[in-house]
Amino acid sequence: MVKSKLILLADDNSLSKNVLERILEPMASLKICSSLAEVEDFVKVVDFDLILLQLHFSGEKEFTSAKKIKSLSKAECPILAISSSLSLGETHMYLNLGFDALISKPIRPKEVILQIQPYLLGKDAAAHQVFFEELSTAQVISTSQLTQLKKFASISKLKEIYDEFLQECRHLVWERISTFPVAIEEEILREIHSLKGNAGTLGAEKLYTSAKYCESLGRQNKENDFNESLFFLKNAILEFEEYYNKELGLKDE
Amino acid sequence: MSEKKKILVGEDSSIIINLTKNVLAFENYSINAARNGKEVLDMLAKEDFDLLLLDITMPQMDGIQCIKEIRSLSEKKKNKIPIIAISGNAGNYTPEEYRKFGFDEFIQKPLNYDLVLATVKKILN
Repeated sequence: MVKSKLILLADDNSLSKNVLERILEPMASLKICSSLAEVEDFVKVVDFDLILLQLHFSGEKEFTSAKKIKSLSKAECPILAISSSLSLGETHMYLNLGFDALISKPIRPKEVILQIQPYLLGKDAAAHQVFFEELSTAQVISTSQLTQLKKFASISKLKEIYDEFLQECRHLVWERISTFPVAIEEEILREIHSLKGNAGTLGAEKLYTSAKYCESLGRQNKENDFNESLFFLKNAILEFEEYYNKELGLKDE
Repeated sequence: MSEKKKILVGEDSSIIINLTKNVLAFENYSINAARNGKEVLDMLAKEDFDLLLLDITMPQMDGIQCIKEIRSLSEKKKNKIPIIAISGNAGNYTPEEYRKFGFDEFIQKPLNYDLVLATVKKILN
């Protein structure tokens, strides 16, 4: 899913470094640094998508200051702290040091992947986090929305409307986003905008959330992120279609 | 029996038009639809309506341009028509800005049809 991203990893514990390398390697290109001085040299000249830093390097008197690294960096980039055995009082220390999040040792691969994926998707971490949270709680079709629509339209009418919506979805998947990369053009943004409005009104929550995200990245002209977000949209469409055909049960009563 | 109130829906999505027609017909309103701002103006020129539901993002002529044209029409009955803005882009304008454009109400997509009906009823009654 996530390609051509560049991560800087600096962890002087060879065990956790090796584990992290294996986790990150399939997701992005890696630059491994073994000291803070080396990190500082690299961030000045290279535009990284994500930086993972040991909270405390052996040989350093003080904790790593992400604020300092950020001030030296060529481009804005989220920095995550890697640390073990933080006591309760210290858990927010990494925030004060300017880190965006904490990866706790022992390293659990699944947790790490979930934690860093939102950052890798782009640089606007907050928006990505919101998207993932919304997507994880969204229903394929909201039962309450469907109940509301049933008050106003017959089952056969609703079926006709959902069928038309499905055609619109299929058109987008097969005609507009069939080959990647997809260029950001007004026409496709308009189609996604229309799909978003229809999906939301018809209670197709996952589709609505994905379309909203795609549209927003497209409007910001973030070509790579936009293309990656289209995978989510495509997935949401396929999921909707499967659900609609198998489970929605819009049959005449 | 009083005459059916006539509502014009300006919206480029046939799905929303179809659904909205059903919902409003359910309450015994008479519904016509236009697919863009220009069609809205054409239909308003031909007949009188009691209310206009106007989508903001439409091809050819969007809802903002359309309301500007409507509010500057010379015929009072036409330029005073109540208009509800419907928008899928939450952050584009504030409710205050919608009022300044001349909209009477503002409803955000995704449409909640209980809210749509309540707003329509409030204006028409």
